[in-house]
Amino acid sequence: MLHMPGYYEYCCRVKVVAGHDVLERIPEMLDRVQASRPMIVTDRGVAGAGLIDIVTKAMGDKVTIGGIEDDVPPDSSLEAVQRIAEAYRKNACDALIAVGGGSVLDTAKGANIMVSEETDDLLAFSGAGMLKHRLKPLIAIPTTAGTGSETTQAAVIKDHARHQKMIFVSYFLLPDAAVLDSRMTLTLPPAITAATAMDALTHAMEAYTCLAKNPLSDASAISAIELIAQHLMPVMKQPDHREGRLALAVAATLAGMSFSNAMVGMVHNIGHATGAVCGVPHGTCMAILLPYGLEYNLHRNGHLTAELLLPLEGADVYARTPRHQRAQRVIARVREMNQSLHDITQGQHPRCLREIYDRDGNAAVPFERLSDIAAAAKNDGAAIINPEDLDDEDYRMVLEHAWDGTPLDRTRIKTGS
Amino acid sequence: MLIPSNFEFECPVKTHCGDRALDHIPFELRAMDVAKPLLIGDEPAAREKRLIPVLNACRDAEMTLGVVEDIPHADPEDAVRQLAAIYRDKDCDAIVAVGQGPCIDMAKWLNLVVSTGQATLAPFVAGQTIPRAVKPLAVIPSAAADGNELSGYLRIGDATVTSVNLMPHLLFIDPRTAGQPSDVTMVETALIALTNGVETFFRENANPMTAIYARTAARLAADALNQLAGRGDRDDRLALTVAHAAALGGCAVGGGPLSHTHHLGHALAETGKIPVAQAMGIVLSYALEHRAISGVIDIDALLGLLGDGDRYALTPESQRSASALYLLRSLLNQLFDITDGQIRRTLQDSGLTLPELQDAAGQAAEKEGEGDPASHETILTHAWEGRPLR
Repeated sequence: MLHMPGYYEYCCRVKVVAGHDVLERIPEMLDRVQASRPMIVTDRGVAGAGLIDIVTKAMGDKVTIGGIEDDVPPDSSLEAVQRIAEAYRKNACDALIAVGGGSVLDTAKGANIMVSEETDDLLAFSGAGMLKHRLKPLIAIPTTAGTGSETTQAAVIKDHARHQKMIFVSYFLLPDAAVLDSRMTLTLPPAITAATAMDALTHAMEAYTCLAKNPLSDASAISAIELIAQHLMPVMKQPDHREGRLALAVAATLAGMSFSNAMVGMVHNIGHATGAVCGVPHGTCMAILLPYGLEYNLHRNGHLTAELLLPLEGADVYARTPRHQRAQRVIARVREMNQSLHDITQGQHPRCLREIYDRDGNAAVPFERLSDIAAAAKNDGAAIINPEDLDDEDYRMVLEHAWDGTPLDRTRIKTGS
Repeated sequence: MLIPSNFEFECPVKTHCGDRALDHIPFELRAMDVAKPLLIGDEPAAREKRLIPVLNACRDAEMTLGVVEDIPHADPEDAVRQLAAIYRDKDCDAIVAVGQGPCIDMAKWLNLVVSTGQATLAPFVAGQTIPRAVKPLAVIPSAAADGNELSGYLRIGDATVTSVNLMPHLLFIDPRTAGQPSDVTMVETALIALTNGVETFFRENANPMTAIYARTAARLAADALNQLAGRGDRDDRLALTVAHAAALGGCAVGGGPLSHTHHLGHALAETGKIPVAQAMGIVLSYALEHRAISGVIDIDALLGLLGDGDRYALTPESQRSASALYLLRSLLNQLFDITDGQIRRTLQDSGLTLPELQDAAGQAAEKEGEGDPASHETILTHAWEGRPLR
């Protein structure tokens, strides 16, 4: 029998167009929404990697680009949103094309609110359900295969002047289309390919094993896990493998559909805190913490983790692994994946928190900061959906093991009632 | 899992399923900028008072609505004209439909009329594009469904139109409106859901996103059919499961092409000797087997759609397809026994004759455009006899 909660919701209204040459279809998509003068929003990394050139070349002369704003900061800011909205108006644009990751898309969403609502007061639209009308057309083109942000109905914009984070939630914030083209991730460096794929794997595994799961989020998660399991290592060995790249992009979107409808748990909870305290990339945190989250919750949801062995390792391994060992095998397999990624990237993909280094070669997560991370984790919302509670001591215990790269001592896990 | 080198996926439906799902209607409509929806129902929904919880939910949230308890029993063109007049007179801006097949078809058509101003279906049948910006449409189906309620498929008489833009935007499946139809009706609904799920999963250019709905619909339908066949305990939410399966099967079909089994089922039902759902249920396994033998599809995964991972993984790879087909056929045998023959095992059980099969094969091929009557005839002959193709 399928797992069936008493009540659930599932929605993914984004039109997904995927393939090896689908950027060429953007003019047709714009035409469908009666737009002809889009503004491209991106960041310097994406533009520097030549991806905007690929996008504009693919669109050819069928579309007049109203402007290219390529200076979105790593954390989407109100200042960037205002600048882009002003340029949009000045250049008489009628649609937005966001090329990049989560911050680029959030910035484009923020600018879209301002130009669609004809306002300079973005704050007035923050919160859930404050948008009441369809916004200007927005097309999302992800350039990593991990965040799944093209499937979410939220945007987070930072107002640095007021030290305030504005959160916007509305179905009208969903992009009109997500374009998954293998050319956008073909040149992604190995370490980023590894981290982002493990980020997507974490989305899928946490969505499947945490408390807000539902049958449709489960089906999305299973497909995502199967695709990542089949295609990540081949892509790592042959980075220009087009089919593999497309499969990973599709997997990331599937995982996004899954977690945006089922939420995530302690891996994200601790990962967010680690990122906030130490500035560590999100995907790296996810990769390291995923086996710990699965291991910590084992007494609560081991039967669900066990089910993941089928998409992760296939029918043969599943069949020959005794039922009571399947969950442990899933955890072991995730650790093996991290080890393989560490080897293939010659150490650039860290296996534990102490192996993460900043640009100057210093430890990015000093042991002394674990208490700060634990304190920050306590205040992160993702803990609500985790199957088992965590207190200060629990966070600290998990972090110490994740720092050192040793499996959890399960006798130290306090099992709640 | 294979990924097509190019594919598209779109499902505008937001699903709400389970306890008190209907209570979310006002919030969801308001989030789509709706002030006053028109609530329409059909005769069974009105008789079983399935509109009442919807009215209560809207009243509690202080949302006013127009109400047509039972859609007009007139010529469809007159009926949609009357409904459009009510919609406009009452200044409505969305449609909420409670009911099954024809009522939901009427709601989709009404939406076209009020959104585009086109009073007839003819321009759309002739190929006029259905715009994306139609009015919000919410659907509240029951366990007595034709499986297309949530799809982008609209059928009025002989006229059919298919577009993703015809799909409803909101789906509410609630124990209060799932109904309590007879076992035979629930079996028929579940058979259509199974067919839609399985056929979409294995259709040409299938993609992993459509598979989300296809896989879930097939699993829910299989769970329900097993219960109805007396395999294991009966869940007290069986009707909800059946309604759920049918709705998600419609989402899986979406705005895509209808399957061979669908066309064959409708052609067989034209004889008046077998309900369309039962025809589809019987034909499904033979159509899949034929396509597998022809090398068009690999149905190895079918066993996984019908049951849990253990059954799939523990069955040797070489036996998975045969085992899945056997499972489908044995399920029909068991349903035949438990319903005293009301659910047929084979086309022969329905009294269909071989010439009627030939006609149905031809009709289905014609509807499909590129269908092969000879292949269809082979499938129907085996489904008539209840004999595997190999």
